Amino acid sequence: MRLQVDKPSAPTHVPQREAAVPSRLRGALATFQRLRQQQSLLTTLIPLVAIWVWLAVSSRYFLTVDNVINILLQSVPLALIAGGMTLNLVAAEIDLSVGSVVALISAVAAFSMVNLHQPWPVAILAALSVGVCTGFVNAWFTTAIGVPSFVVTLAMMGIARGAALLVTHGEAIVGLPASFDYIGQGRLVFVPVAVLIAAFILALLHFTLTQTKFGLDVYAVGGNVEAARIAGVNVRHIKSAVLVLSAVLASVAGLVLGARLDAGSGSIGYDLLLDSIAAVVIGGTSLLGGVGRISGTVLGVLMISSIRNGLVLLNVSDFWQEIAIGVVILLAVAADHLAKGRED
Amino acid sequence: MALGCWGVSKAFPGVQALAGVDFGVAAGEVHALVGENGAGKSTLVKIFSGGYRPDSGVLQIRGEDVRLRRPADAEARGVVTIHQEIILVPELDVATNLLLGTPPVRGRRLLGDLAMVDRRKLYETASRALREIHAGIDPRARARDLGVSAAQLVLLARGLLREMRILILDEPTAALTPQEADELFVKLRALRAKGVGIVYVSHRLDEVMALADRITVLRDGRAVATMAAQGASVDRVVELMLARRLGDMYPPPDRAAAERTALDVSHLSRASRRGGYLSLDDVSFRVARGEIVGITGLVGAGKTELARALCGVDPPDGGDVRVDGQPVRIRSPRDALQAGITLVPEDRKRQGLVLLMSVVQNLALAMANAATVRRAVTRLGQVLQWKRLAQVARTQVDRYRIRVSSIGQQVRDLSGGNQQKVVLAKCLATSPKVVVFDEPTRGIAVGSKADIYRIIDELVRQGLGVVLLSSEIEEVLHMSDRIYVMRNGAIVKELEPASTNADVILRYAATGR
Repeated sequence: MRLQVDKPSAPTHVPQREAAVPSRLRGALATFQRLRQQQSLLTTLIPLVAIWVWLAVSSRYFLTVDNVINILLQSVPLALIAGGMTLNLVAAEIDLSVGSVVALISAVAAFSMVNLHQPWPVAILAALSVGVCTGFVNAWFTTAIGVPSFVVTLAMMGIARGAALLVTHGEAIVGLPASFDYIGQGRLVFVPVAVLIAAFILALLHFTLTQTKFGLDVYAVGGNVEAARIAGVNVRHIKSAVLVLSAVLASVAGLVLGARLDAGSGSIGYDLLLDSIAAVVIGGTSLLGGVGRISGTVLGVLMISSIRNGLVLLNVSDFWQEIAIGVVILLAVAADHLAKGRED
Repeated sequence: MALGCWGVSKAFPGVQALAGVDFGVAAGEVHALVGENGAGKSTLVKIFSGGYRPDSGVLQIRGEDVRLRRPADAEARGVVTIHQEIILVPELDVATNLLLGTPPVRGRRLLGDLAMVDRRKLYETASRALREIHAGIDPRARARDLGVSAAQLVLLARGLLREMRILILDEPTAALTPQEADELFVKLRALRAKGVGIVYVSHRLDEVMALADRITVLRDGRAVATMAAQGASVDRVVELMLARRLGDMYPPPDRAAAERTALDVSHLSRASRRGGYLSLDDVSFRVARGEIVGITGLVGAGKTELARALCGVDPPDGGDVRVDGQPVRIRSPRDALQAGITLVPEDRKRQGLVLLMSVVQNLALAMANAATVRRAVTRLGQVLQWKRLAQVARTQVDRYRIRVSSIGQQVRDLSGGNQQKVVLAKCLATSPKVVVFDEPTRGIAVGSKADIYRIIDELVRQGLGVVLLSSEIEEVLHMSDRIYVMRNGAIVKELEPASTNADVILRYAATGR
């Protein structure tokens, strides 16, 4: 049939094929998409609560005060590193060296105290300086030479790990002074000191990202580097700053972890890289830059720590834990892509 | 009807992009689709090309009801779409791009998908297709080296190879010079004569009038009128687009420039980073306070390079820049902003805005990074005073008539014209002394254009110096107090708008004499 050219006369009956009743699943998906697009914390909070409920039902011990404090304490290194990772991902950079830096810092601190007999403040300063140096090296190669941070920090991952193993001769340096161990094991009233340190630092990061010009610049650099530059943002400074900050936070994490384990070792912190990226992504931070929040990251950290803790309580092997974390990352990233929907 | 739709609706979160649109194009017809930004043109195009699925309504291609799930479905039915952003694989050559996905192969029966590409046949077929549209393009040239116009022709040729029955063009002339546009029209008319149905989306009504057989006006997601192009008047179409009478687009030029110089540029030069030529060649000009200096020229004449040099994006190699008589050294956008020069860039999405941030955040970004106003919106230069920033944002939104649901709305959800106004608002919030506009109305609907001209006019009345870089000669003629013509990176002529016309300007732009 050939229709008339002049006026597109509408057919009398319009088939309603597209107006099929959406299934319940599709409705749930649409709600999820909307929430994720609004960057609502609910998309992280609801799965987190679901996991808590599941673990509380499966293990009587899970929801005890001791265990909750234990989860928080074990979250500290991860929380610090994930905070730095959030800044990096928001600025469209990444720091893969965090786990190795944690090991290096614990090694340097322990070596200073045990082998060189230095008092703990000197050891902390020495360790922090080493950590800051790794950050500056990462930043310099990324911003001055222009090597992608992915590659630079991948190299640093190997360098810092090797250095940590060298310092410790591949063994744990144990027997740290009690005054040092306090930052990892001590309690104020009944809250672990380490948790207070992490809470304070994360609050500071949250404030920085939401309330300062620096924070805004970080979002702008990650969201649209060209527009940020034209608006007068010093892009190199911002990129350097997030990489250095990430190294500093990893260093603090290294000190806290070393103090908790009462040891410096070249072989700790292997799971921190995977876990931190997982936590940040679960918390709604985009791997493409420009989007992310510390509050989301905190929820992501709690989710990872709860899963690890809960699986231990349920006597699930370490190997399965790794698989579980990997699956969670996949789900979180897939959810993000679904949330973007058919946009563009 | 070669391609038609009835009662097509499509909603996005917060917007009814299309509401029951009827539209059709016959074989051998050019049907133009016009409307303001946000009227739904691009959405309709994406529905025809399989990019979006309509919420309701019927789509017909050559008399058959179809459901397009992906762009490949549309192509398979002979519907070829050339989008504003040209999509070619930049590292491959023209011939490979032409036959991407369906290259001629040897030994398919034996090897299946691993069959070898028949390179001789590939280049033969490509050459034939290019000859058919009289495009003088080397099939072995790499796609990245092609200009926009050549790339469009490659896409046209690709359409011909795929037995194109319907061709959809979305703003094809946005990045073309007038000559290139004319060449494109010749080719489109030839295609029409061959029986291809063409859907032509454009802001440029003069083009539409010259080329189209029928015109459909979209407004707020509805097709408000379809008419024959013959006998239709531009004014009538614009009225339908805007649903109101169009006042004079350009503000009256009854301004008086002050004597004091706002910007003085002398002997500015910059070597091209790609080849051994000068992208800016000894450029000198001055702008008084309260004066609009229009700088025009063909695409590639060096206007954008000049804008980027002035604003420190690509800093100049040599020459002097003075603002209010003070010499300034421009090595980065920070330096330029500090000196009081701000750029309203050509490509708002890439250079002007952080799309993922809200209106107020974009404004905050600009203000907090401009040394001139930083103290007003931050404590200690770092802690943002969001309340004050929100106040500024609301004032700017009202002042520039930016249509937003709230100042917290993400700018990526705004229409092109409103995005451009946000760019303006954020640049102007930094209290500049000189504003450089690079193609301020490119790709913007008529209604928003008038708003932007009004804003520029207000600025100069407040005593700012304005540099207006534009390849739209009409715009430069109507808006400027003085005109410079650029060619090959150099200024070839200074003209007074009162004593010149578009032909003279075009001659200088094209020949330098």
